[in-house]
Amino acid sequence: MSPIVPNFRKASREAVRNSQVIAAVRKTANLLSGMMALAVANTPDFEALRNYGRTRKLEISGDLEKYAQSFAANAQAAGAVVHRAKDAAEAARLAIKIAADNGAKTAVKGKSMTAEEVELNEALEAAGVTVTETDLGEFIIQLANEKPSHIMAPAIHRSRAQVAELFTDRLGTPPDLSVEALVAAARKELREKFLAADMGITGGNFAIADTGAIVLLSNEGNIRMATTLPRIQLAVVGIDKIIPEMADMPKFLALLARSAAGQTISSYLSIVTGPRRAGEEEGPEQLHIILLDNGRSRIAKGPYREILHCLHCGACLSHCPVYRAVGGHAYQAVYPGPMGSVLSPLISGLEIYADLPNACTLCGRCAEVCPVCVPLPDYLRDLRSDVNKPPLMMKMAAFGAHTPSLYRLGMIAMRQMLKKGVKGLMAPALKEWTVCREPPEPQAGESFRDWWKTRSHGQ
Amino acid sequence: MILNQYLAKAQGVGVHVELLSLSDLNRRLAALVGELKAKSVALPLIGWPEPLLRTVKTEVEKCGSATVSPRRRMDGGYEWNRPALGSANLGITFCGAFIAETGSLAFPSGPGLGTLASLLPETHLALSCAKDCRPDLGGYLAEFGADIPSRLTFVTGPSRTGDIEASMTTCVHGPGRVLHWIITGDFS
Repeated sequence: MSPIVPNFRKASREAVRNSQVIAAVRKTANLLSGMMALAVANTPDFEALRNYGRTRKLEISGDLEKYAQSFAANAQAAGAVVHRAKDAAEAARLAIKIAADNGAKTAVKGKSMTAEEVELNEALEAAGVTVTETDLGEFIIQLANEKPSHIMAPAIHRSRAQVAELFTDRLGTPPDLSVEALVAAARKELREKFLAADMGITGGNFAIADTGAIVLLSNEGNIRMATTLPRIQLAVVGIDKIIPEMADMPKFLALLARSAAGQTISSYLSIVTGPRRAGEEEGPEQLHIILLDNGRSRIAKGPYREILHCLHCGACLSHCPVYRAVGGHAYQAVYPGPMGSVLSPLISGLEIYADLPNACTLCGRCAEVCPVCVPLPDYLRDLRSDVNKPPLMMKMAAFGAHTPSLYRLGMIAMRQMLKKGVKGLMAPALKEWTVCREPPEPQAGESFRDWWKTRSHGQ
Repeated sequence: MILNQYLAKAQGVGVHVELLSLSDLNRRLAALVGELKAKSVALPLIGWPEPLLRTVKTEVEKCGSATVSPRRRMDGGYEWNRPALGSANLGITFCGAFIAETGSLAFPSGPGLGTLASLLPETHLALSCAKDCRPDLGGYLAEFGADIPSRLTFVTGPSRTGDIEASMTTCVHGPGRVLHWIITGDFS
């Protein structure tokens, strides 16, 4: 769908040279991972919670359709209109129709990665609906005409000075404002939009099957505004966000809030069950929920099922040495970092994102911090095998390594070649390997095999 | 003692929480309204213990502030005067349940309950009775059974963001200042 052909190798080479972006990413990632560590240390039963999360999520991903149907039925009973979208294009068409049917011309939107996946803003704008992002980070990148670079902290790559410059340019604020003054300027600008908007658009952190409720977290209060003030509310929710019962929610919330920002709970937690009811002075007249599949049912049946357990907390991003070195934009995908390197190829196709499983050192930190124990390094390694049919040279090497006489000949040849330096015939074959490192020089003197032979004879 | 757990948690997330008696309320309210120079106070009138509402209403009016409340329509339903609500400097709400585990204030929606008073003004004062403290979120949610309100909101500290250089800043879209006065003693 995207006109750019993603090329992580090229984009990451450029990204590592942008020291301002890397410094900004590292600063925030350090703070986030520090806050998470503290919150986890203050939660004695965190491991038990993680195990609960994983076990419960296995039950859910084993029967996604059952929970999706149960959620849809209960949400409808509460007065919501539930739409099922099999892919991103269908979700966008549905959103446009909802806006058109209700004459909605302006929308205020809370941060939603599912909406990014659907390219909802682009679709609605093309249909004549003005969409304003209201999460501060999303508002900043919308003004800058950029994409989010982190699933929880979308403007992680921008410094205060850059945001100040952007606000001066786009909103006419005085130059070089402090963080506090920038926040106050955004409050003023966005308050008017909230009060005037026809439609409020959100994602959903959880969808509760047994009550049909959508659960939304926010620290800024923009989600409360978007779910209370406009006359139409639209929530775009992936079917992987469904959890069975309201009683599960506090536990998943505890995992998510700690892992996302080191909190026990976010500043605001909104549990939305249907639209405004009779006699109420607040809430939308209509609540529409688009349940998005977009490959999720297919993924649930395959070998990478547990990626659907992801709570989208962003902990694996902030802890990943590759993400911290290149930032989110280098991935050129809606979902960056370790979870994105698994999810993006599975949703959009391994041929489009063939590089992403290689954007990983297999260090294992992502799996260590994941609140629902998704085996990210295993998945990334398996995806590499899906991408790469072993080349002829590696097959020959494997045969050689299995045959002692060939192995001995090969080692003798290798020593001779390395002594002379990697040149001539060998150079193109090893280019991939030598592009960012020097080939080793063999140790002076005899080979290990010769040394071993004399040593064992001597004893 | 769950009240102590609540106090520690709420202070930890930046709520100005205090225990006071009903007889202290007049004086404290007058001081707050004066300090904020609050010309207009958002004050939903439904759901309060009667003596508490009477004290609040009288004192706010005595300070010369206008009050904005959800109005009763002819059909029995309620509605906000949106422009008036938007210009209120202070929101005063009754909070019938607060959660020790997380330091949260709970606001269910319902006719006349006016939860926007806890969101739009820059300062939010919540009043509660000490007996209404709940140990945890799960237990409180279970109280509703299948009868959950259309909007159930938990407020845990002020509106905040870390979106610019991860520097924690308050008063983004909601109140920058949240006060919680817990009234001790039996007055209902």
